[in-house]
Amino acid sequence: MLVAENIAKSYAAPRGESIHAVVDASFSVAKGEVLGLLGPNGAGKTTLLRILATIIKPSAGSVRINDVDALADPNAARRLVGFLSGNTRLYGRLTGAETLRYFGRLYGMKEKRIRKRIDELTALLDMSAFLHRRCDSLSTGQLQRVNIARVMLHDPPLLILDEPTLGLDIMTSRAILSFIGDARDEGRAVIFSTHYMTEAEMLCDRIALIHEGHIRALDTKEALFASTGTDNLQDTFLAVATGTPTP
Amino acid sequence: MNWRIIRTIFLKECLDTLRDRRAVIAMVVVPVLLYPAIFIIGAQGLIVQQARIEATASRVAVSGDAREVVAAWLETEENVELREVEEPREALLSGRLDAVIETGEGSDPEAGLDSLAVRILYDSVEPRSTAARERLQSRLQERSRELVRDRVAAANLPEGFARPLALSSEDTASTERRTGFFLGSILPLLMVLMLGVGAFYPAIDLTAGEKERGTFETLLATPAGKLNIVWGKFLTVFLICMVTGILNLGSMAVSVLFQLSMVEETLGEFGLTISWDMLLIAFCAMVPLAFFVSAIMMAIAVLARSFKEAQNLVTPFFLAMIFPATYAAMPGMTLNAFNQFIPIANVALLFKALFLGEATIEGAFAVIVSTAAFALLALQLATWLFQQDEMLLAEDRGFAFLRRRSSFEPQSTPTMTMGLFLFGFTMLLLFYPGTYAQSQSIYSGLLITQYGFILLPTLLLLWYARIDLRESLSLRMPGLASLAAIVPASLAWIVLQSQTAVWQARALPFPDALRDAFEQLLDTTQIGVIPLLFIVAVTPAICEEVMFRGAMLSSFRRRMPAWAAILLVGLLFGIFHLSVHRLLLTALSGVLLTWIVYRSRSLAHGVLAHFLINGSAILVVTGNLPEFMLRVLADPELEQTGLPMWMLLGAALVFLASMVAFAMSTRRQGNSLA
Repeated sequence: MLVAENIAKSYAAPRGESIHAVVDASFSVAKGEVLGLLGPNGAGKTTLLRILATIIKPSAGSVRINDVDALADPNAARRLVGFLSGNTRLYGRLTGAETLRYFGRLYGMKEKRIRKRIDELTALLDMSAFLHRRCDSLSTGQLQRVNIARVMLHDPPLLILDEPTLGLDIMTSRAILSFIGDARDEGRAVIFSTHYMTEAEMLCDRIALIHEGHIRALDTKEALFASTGTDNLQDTFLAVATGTPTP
Repeated sequence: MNWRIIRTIFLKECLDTLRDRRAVIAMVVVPVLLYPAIFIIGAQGLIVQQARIEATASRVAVSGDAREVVAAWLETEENVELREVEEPREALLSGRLDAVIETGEGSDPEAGLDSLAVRILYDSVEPRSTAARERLQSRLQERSRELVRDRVAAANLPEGFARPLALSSEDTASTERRTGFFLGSILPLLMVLMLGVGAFYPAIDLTAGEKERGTFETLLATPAGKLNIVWGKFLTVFLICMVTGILNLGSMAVSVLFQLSMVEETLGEFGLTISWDMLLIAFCAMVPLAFFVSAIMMAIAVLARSFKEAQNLVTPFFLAMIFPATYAAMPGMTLNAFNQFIPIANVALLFKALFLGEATIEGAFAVIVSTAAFALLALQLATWLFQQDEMLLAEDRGFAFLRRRSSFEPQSTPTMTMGLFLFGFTMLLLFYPGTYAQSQSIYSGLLITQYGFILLPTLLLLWYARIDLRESLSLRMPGLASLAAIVPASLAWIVLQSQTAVWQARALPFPDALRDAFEQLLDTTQIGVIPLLFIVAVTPAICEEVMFRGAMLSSFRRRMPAWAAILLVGLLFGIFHLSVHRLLLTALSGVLLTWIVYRSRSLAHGVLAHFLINGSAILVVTGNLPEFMLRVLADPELEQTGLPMWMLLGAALVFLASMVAFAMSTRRQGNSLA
């Protein structure tokens, strides 16, 4: 579904040096698979996911999504991706329905299909009570449901989710995690970043441990535990990040 | 470009803006309701006040020896009520009287041929008192004329004896033209301000506002494409700017005309014919101006990381728009070959010409085309900024000022905010202590201004913000070949500038005051040529280059393409010299110097070129050049004739050849033009 090879991203820094936000990251995600990016704040997760979603360009490397070269044809790649970030907000002065119609048009969907998908998602996410209310009057949970509908509207085979549960209450977080599980069951590929170890343990088929821009380890949970001699992701991460075995 | 996507974004942004109560109040409620209310209530208030004053009798006391004579003249006046008061001046000051007439030396003018001194005391800030003065003056002047007529008749003299000249004047301007002059001076300025007001809020809200609300990332993740996004947003800002501008201007114009018609009797007759042709041309000029203002405001706002920061960045541009508009509103200023290319001023002048019925199709065409060209450049800049990932997704780091030095991360170049701050701050120093220092002593004042108010703040800012001096000031060893190429280029540039000055003077003559100030500055009898060269050539070459081609160029390059940074530094360099008559020449030199430093990445080239340009100008003006050169360059007839063609062609060839040599020698050092 997605193949990323040798992705790197650098920014200009003081004294002509560079900050390396992402260094030589290579991995792939298959259909029906959830890949978790696990790392502390500032590890490079957001930069990497923004590159995969074609929001920013990498300094080096390549990304292919369903055989589409995402750097050469970012618009074609974007049609295959649903992107949701913990920081994503919605237009407060538009209603949920207007928001969905707007994004449907930006994705180049026909009006008839937009209407059909809105009806389907409204039923699926139980949004009929607030779909025609302005977003600035919705609760956090309701907003997140509209956001999920926005991500799913064009039926993308790949979901890229950047800390989607950041700052949410338990109920809303659970709904998001349930949505990720459902997406996987529907055969979609999911890449999501988090710094909540429990979320990663619960959902991910494979986990990439990212630290200071480098992917330090990438494997299944069980394989990571075995290679580091640990039994939980927190210890695994510390062992990988510091290069020392945990007690 | 995908017009379907642009239309989608445009419609969404319009809907979003229309649902914003603040925007609707600023766009619709204020112009449609507030201006008419203010003007109509104001006009009615004025009329009521005028009527009240006219209906009220003036309370007047007469004092002095001839009190009874003067009082008798006023007794028949309907609106004058004579009062007996002990201390008339006191009564006037306390408001118990509206005016006092003091009679002084002299005797009764009715009895003989003497003259009587009569003085009216009144309070100019009291409308009742001012009205009293007018009534009394009118009555006393009338009485004076009657007495002259009586004396002339008594002496059997002809009527013309006391009136050797029958002086009168007649205004040939039609009422339409008088009203056109009045409105043509005010409305263009208001139009520029209203377009600015119209674009201000949406330009910020659709860029920095969207960044702050966290919706930009979502938009960028769609297949809309940045070019379509910027066009969709720009068209929204442009439409709102136009609608607000037209609503504001229309509402204000109607309100002003209504007010004028109501107070016609007080202020004289007004009349204005507005033809459809005029409205069409005015609209055609307004479109590119709104386009230009919208694009510039959007380009500036996208630099900001938050709504508040964007307000801080856009406000100086909004205020700066007033200058060219005020220039256009000045009496006697008309559209000419020079100013028809000055953005904002040209449209304001075209409006003025339309109201006066003096606009020509050629002038209107030049204004519309040049404004459209500036607008496209501004939009190009906004589009380029939108393409920068760092510009759209940067986190809010806030202002860099007022932080402890230790909290600054060492950086290679100053930020754009620091560059703009430096310019604004040194301008303030130039305005106040700089002007004061130069008024005390021109030479030491210049030295204090250059080293104390330009060089020192620049170096302090770079040191305090922990900026790498070598990188930000381009302190690199220059190549000998490129340095050598600068010499003939700078000398040829002076010749070309002299001719440019001649052309400019035909459209915008140098005022005598400016000429005198220069002559005083360059008077070698007060100071020798060498000290003069040090103060006027060496010093600015160091101080101004460090600030403009060093700190400001490197700061603007962080967020702008090279061409935009070079043009902006050049323009600001021109503005820095605080003279509309020197703006073009200094801005052109500024652009050249900035390109030289950008190209060579070495400040030394800029310092040398700056020194040569200033130095050779001094040598020409002070006559310290070989006789054959002075015959041409310092010819007093130069302003009329211009430089000889052979010299212009020669200078142009030398300039181009030296610039090519300079470009080639710097390319060998590993630079590119891009």
